Amino acid sequence: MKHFAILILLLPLIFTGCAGLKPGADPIIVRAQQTERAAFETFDAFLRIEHKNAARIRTAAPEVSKFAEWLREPLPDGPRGIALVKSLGNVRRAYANAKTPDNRAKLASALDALSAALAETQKHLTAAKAF
Amino acid sequence: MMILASLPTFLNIAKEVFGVGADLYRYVTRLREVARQDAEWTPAQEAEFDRVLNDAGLQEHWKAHKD
Repeated sequence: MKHFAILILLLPLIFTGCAGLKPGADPIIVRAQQTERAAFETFDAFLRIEHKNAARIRTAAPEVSKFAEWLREPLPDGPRGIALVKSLGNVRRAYANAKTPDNRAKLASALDALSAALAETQKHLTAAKAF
Repeated sequence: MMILASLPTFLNIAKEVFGVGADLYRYVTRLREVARQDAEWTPAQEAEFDRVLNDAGLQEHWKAHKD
């Protein structure tokens, strides 16, 4: 029943494709912005669910708790999850100000790094939802 | 009588299940908005996202546990 409810919740996503871009929009900038927003929403949903079920998750799936604490670890720019998102934002703005091949390579690299953290969080979010 | 006695337990379970359901629903709704993005952010949207990031860091579920 719970899995059915989750499937119902995910259906709108399954049937919604990515939008075509308006003229003038730089695809890599839009992709970076989408990744920043999707990563933040995923980190936030995962940490919210983990926080609500912390005691149970800590006992039954310590690796999920450990990953949550990794995202929460305080860094100069805020908790690590937020610092990662802000870091991509800084690289994206640098590229928008000067579209050099070097800045583009840095943006692509930062995009890959945040995408990897996002994929890892989605894996742990799936585990956390089971509690 | 037994049913009445177990009512608080059922209510707690329902609260937890629907609580997680609401979080997931909000998450999916926001991802749909992300998928619909078809232009670069305006300065106002950029500022709004910065504000969201800064506010989130102050919320309880983002704070590192001491133990």
